[in-house]
Amino acid sequence: MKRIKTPKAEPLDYLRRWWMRSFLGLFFVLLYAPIVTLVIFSFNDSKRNIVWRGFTTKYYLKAMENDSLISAFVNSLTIAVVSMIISVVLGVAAAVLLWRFRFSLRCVADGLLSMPIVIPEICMGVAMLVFFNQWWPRDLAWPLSLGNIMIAHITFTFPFVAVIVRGRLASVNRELEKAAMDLGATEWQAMRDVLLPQIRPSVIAGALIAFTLSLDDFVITYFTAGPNSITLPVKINSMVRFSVTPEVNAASTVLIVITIAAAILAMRFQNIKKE
Amino acid sequence: MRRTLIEIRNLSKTFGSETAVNDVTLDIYDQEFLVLLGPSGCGKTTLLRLLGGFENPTAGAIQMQGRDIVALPPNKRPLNMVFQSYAVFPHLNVRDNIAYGLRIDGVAKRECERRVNEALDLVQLAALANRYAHQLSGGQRQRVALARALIKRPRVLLLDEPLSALDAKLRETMQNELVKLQHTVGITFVVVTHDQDEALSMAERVAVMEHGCIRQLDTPRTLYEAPQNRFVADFVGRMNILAARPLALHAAPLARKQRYRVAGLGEVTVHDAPAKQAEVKAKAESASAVERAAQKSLPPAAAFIAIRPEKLSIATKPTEDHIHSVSANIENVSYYGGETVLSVTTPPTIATTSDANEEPTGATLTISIPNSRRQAAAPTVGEQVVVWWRAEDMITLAD
Repeated sequence: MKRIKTPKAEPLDYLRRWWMRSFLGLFFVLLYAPIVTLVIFSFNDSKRNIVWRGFTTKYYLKAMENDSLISAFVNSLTIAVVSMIISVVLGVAAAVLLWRFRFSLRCVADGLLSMPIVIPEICMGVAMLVFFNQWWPRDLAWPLSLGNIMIAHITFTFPFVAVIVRGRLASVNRELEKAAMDLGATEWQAMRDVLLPQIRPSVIAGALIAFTLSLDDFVITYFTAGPNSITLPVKINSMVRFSVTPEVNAASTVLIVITIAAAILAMRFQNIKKE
Repeated sequence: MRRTLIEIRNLSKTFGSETAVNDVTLDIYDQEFLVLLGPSGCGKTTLLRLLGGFENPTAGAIQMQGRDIVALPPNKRPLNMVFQSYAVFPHLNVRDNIAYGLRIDGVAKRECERRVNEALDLVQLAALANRYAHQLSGGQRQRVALARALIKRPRVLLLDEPLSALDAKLRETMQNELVKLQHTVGITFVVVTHDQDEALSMAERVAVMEHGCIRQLDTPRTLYEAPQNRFVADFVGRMNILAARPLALHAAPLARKQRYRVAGLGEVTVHDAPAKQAEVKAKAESASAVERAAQKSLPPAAAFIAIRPEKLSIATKPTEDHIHSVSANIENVSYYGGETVLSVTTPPTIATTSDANEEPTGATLTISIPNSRRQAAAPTVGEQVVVWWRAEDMITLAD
């Protein structure tokens, strides 16, 4: 039998080489196998969650009835939303500041801004613990009791917003704002009418990334959370200590779905071209 | 005399240790087309931005109809600017771009619409009113920027390198359109450019700038035919500039002929331009004043003789008509279609008579020959020719 020859790959067409394809295949399997397993086993009808015993959704219901789990989830969402909003304001302000103005120590400010991105989270966590231990009141009412976690999250999420917005600003024509001012706009009007519409996709993308970073942060939150301010990742961690039940898988799956949804939205907003 | 609209007095702008604009004094007339011309870094754009209010001057004053405008921010100045990139707002369509200035001013909706339609007609963009910037060509974008600025009815329109982003053919069309537009709207245009062809063809007056100073401010014709210094002579158009040494004054002061020795050309006699003679005449009221004026305008010890390439001609043999001629060897021939540009060298001669140690040097001349006939014989490299020119086509330059 005559074999049908596939056309020979172009010199730089690496994706047509078998070794590149198998490497990519392996890469994706290793990347997603644990997550897929986690999701599948959240539907497992078994308490010990080691062997597959059949399909059920009862652990999702059980997770929803778990008050401490739900309150942790509500805490997580509250922290994520609040820190996202403040991160966006700070991040956009920082990005515009560094793009628009020339001042002494601008380079230093630029470098310091991205420090929270590169500092090991564990160090940030310990630093936050020491910092808040000194003066943060312990017995605040509910939303305020999350304040220290929010502050900690804002500290490491707003640089991400700033970096994303700066990337977009780099391609914004500086003459646009000047043109608006030339036509009679004040600096604020020029920013509102011309600059913000230009960077809007990056602001939304930055917001969603800040949201997901805050939602699933464990290390820093672990050091700053008190007994009354448990978040979902911290709660899941404490549940896993006893046994890995499908309930944990179910809670994790919910977290994954929210994160992936936010990440996809972020990517779509990043990629929006001018019309 | 035309009415002065903007008076710039001793205006300077320094950035750190660099002086971008150096003590510029300039009157801009009402309804004129003024071009600021100069090489990059000469301060022409900074001067424009000072007018627009995007820079604060280090020293000096800008007055518009007697009112000091230095303290006014850009959004309060009765001038509008067309930016080099055109800065068409990418998130707004053509109509909203043009309407932006009126919206900011809170102009009533109906009035706004009427004026936008007027502006669209003025720049012939009515058919493209709903397009966005990325759907427009460079020339169309420029027209949006023009309409957007003109709708504010400014007294002065500032244009920063308005044609540099366009391709060569379109640039020529837009040069004409800009001049036509300026006549239609009847306001002052101040255009910055580094392109001398653009400056000469569009401007009523051209200010040539170098190192932050205006080196000459004149009509295009005067600028080209009677440059006042070496920089202007060299920057505007092509020019042969040769070092020359003046010899004794040759005739009566009012006839104003001067002989020079030029390396590679030998002795030449330059007739002063009639304008210069008239100037000397006007200044001199008595005979002694004539004498003094002549003394004052005596050429300096070192000078330059300049002549435009198209004012040089070539011939095969010298004739009696050729008062100024020199034999030369063709070194290079460049064919440009409408003209052929030759580079010729003359045999070495001595420029000075006094300095015995001086090496005799030849001169390299650029000659432009119009290709006015299809079958004209083409000059060839290596050919021996006679280069000749008229005395009145030579220019003397002091520096």
